[in-house]
Amino acid sequence: MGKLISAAVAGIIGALLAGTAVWGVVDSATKAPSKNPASAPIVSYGNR
Amino acid sequence: MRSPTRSVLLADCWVLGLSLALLWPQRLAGYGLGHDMVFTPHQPLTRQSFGLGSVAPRAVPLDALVALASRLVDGAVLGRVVLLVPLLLAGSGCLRLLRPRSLPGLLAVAGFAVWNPFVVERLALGQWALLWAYGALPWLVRAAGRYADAGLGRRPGKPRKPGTEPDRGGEPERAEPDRTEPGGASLDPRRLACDRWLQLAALLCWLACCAITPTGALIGAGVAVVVAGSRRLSRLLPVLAAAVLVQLPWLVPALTSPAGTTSDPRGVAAFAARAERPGGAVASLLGLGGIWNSDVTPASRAGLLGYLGTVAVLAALVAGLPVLRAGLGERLTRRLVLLGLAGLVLAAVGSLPGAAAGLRWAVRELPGAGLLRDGQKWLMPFVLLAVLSTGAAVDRLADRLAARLPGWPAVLGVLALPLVLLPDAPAVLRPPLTPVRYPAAWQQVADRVRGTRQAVLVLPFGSYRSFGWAPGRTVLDPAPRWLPAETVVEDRLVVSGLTLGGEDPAAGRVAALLAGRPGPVALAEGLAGQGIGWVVRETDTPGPALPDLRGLQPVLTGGAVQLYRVPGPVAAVAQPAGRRWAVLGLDLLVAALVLAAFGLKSASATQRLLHSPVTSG
Repeated sequence: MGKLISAAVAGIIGALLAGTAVWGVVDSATKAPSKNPASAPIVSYGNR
Repeated sequence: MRSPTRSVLLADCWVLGLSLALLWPQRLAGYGLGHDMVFTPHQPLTRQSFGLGSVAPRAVPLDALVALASRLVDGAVLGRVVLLVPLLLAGSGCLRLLRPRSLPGLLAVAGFAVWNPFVVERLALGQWALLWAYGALPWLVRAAGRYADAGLGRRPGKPRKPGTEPDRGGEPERAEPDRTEPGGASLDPRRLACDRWLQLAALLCWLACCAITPTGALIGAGVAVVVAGSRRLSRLLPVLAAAVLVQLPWLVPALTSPAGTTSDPRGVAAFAARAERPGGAVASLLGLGGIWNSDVTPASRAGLLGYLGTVAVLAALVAGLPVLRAGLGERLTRRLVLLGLAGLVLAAVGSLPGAAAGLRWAVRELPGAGLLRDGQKWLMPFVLLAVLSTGAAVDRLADRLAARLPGWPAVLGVLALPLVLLPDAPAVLRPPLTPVRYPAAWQQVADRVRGTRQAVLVLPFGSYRSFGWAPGRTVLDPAPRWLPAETVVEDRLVVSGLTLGGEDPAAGRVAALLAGRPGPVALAEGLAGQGIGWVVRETDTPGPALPDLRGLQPVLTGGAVQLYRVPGPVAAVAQPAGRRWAVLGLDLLVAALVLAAFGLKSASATQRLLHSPVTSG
């Protein structure tokens, strides 16, 4: 019984981790960029 | 029970899967163009490719190698291959260096080697060539370790059980090396010497992979010397020679260049490792992030996941180092820790108040110290240590849990962990890695200036572009990698509104000319006097105000790239032949030696494969 509960808990945690990962990757990959570099008059190498 | 070979194969597949996920935008047609990454259909091989121009040789010998390779394959194909290979090398190299015994351990190493903040941030900045050094690093460590052990009757990098490995306790050499084969037969001294040369050949090949950029060359040299280092000169000197040899392609042009060898000290603050979240830059570095540019930093690094990432790395180091010692041996582990700490310190120097002042002085006064300005790139050996420690820690954890839990939840958790800690890696990579289609005018202008001996000035006179046809990103001016001629481009960089001084004297003279707001005739005369016979104007990008071009003869106008001819006689710019022959001669020598080493190692591997006993089942 103990083994079964451990396996179920581990499975739920694993599934949650995998679900979060997939959601994070898909959600972030489909978001629009927050800023457009072309709007700056002088193009900068980068910003700190 | 799953066989070790099958587990390694599964982990290799995971490396490939994650690499393809990161590079997913590259499935679209076009050429790679994002931040520092510029691929064109056929990059020309010019004097600048070898560092023979007046520009500081930052992309040497990289530009020459890309130009040579793009004579064989189109830049679109090349751009995809050279981005994928270092990721595969990093994952598979870490796997083979550590050889964890459990599948979760293997998957942890594979996943973390490819999907971590260092890789993602450098890739987002377009610095794929630096990732070649990262990818080659585990293989270099393996080769250097084998070189150090060649002739001592053992080979590191092979899986060992803790406790079975005779520990050398940090001693550089044994007093009585065990020169017997496992069967007890004595090894022939000639065979031992031959083995050492073969390991040296492998070491040189991996060093050369690191050395396609100056920073990679220095990191590779440091790693090779520390890992293969010995108190015996006869063993140390060949490694030192190899480490120096791979520096020559960039070092000789740098030492003989008319470009300034010192840099703007304000660059230290601009390029120092950045605190991605409250807690300081060192905490960000410990989480393997901390690149100076917030534009390429995944948003998740600023929040809870950033803190969790740092905690995960620290926990992995604490739990994994004892296992690493057991697996890799005391000597190699100690040297890897030393390298990792050195990398961490170098990466943090620009962010620490007292040390930053010292670095500013060095950058202003010491030739070549400008390489230290971008701190986070020196973190590479620490990233390798963190990846290996993570695999070792997960291996240990999997061992302990194996008796209590079924294996698959642990596997699932390990698969998900890097994605959970850095879920927005694909998002930050999407704009810079999405390929572009160059307007047709680029090819027309390139064809028109082909064969000219006069320099080409590129306007707007700014180093970075933001083209409408390459949305969502800033890019390094692609003109030097499009035009088969000497180009004069702005080399001053703008970071957060601050303009940092450049090093190219030719660009400095043009900047001075343009700053005087010359009229049409004065501009033409000024350019002709500097040996500039052509002016290219890139449209559809913001940039500094253009000078009055009415004194120039329009050649190709109306497109995205316009070409003008400077009228009248153009001064010839003298090029010292001695410098050219010295640099090209040394480049050829280095290439010949690296190719010979590769041939030697390949021949040996083929021979071993042909003579290995056929195993079944």
